[in-house]
Amino acid sequence: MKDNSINEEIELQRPLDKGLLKALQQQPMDPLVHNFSFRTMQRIKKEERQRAHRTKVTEIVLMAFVSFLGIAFIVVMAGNSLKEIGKSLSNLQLFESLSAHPLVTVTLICCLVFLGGMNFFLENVFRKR
Amino acid sequence: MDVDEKHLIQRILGGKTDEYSYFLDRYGREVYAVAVRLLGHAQDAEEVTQDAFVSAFQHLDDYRPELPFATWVCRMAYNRAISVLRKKKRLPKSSNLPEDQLASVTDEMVASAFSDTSDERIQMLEQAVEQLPADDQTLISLFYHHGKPLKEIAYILGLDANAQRSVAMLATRISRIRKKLYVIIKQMEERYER
Repeated sequence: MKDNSINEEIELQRPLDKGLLKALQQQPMDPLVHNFSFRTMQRIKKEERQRAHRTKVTEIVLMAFVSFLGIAFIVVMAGNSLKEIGKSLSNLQLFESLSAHPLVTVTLICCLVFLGGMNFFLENVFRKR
Repeated sequence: MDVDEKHLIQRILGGKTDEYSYFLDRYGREVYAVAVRLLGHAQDAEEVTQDAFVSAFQHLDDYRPELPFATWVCRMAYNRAISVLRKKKRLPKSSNLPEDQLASVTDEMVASAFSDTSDERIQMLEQAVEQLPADDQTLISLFYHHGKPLKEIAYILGLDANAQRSVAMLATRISRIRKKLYVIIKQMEERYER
């Protein structure tokens, strides 16, 4: 209650202290440089460019890392099958070979979908920032 | 407000960076005035103002439109200015007016002295304001010159703007500063009379 009354008192007094207001308005003050907006915008744009560059580099590193992981996963899980596919391909029997190894085919498709999804997700995240 | 600032902020967040210059043109001087009052040095104040606007741009998605944009940036500038003062070991010192001198001053005496708009009184008030510590100058400048509500001033100074106690504390502080100014003016008058 007491708190409210002092707030109200001081608020009521504000428009009546015309002399003090005028004194504060008239006090000499160093002016803001005329090109302040321009200089600040330049700085903001420069920092934006640097941030965009950092984001791009991070994106590339992440993509490379995820791709490496995907490839490593395929090699570990289906290395032997891949060798066989390689042999089959050299005999130009690609489709027969893939149908003969459904596990490899499904793993490959899953990896491609995962990488595509990851790419889409990361692009969205970094674009928002 | 001539421009729909909420809409403008959405456009800036959507990639129209150039449109941020609207906020710099509109509120640059106001934020600078707070910084220069506290720092008392134009170059430092300009740097602090620029830092505050750059930081505001980087955190634009955190901005809540319930608060005026200038007040939001003023708080950033105020915090930065305090950091600069702390680094330079120039934190504002409280004035050393004796407590009994202030106690003898009534609100009526202050009110009648401050409503006077004669050139002589204004000149005295200008000089008296200069004798106040920088944080007191900043506070009365925010209250009178910028016409900010007490809640917004509390926010700028980093107090809990929603707490009634913080706002009341500010009101009490402004009341004390008015009394200090009155005492300074009276001392000046006495000196002139001698």
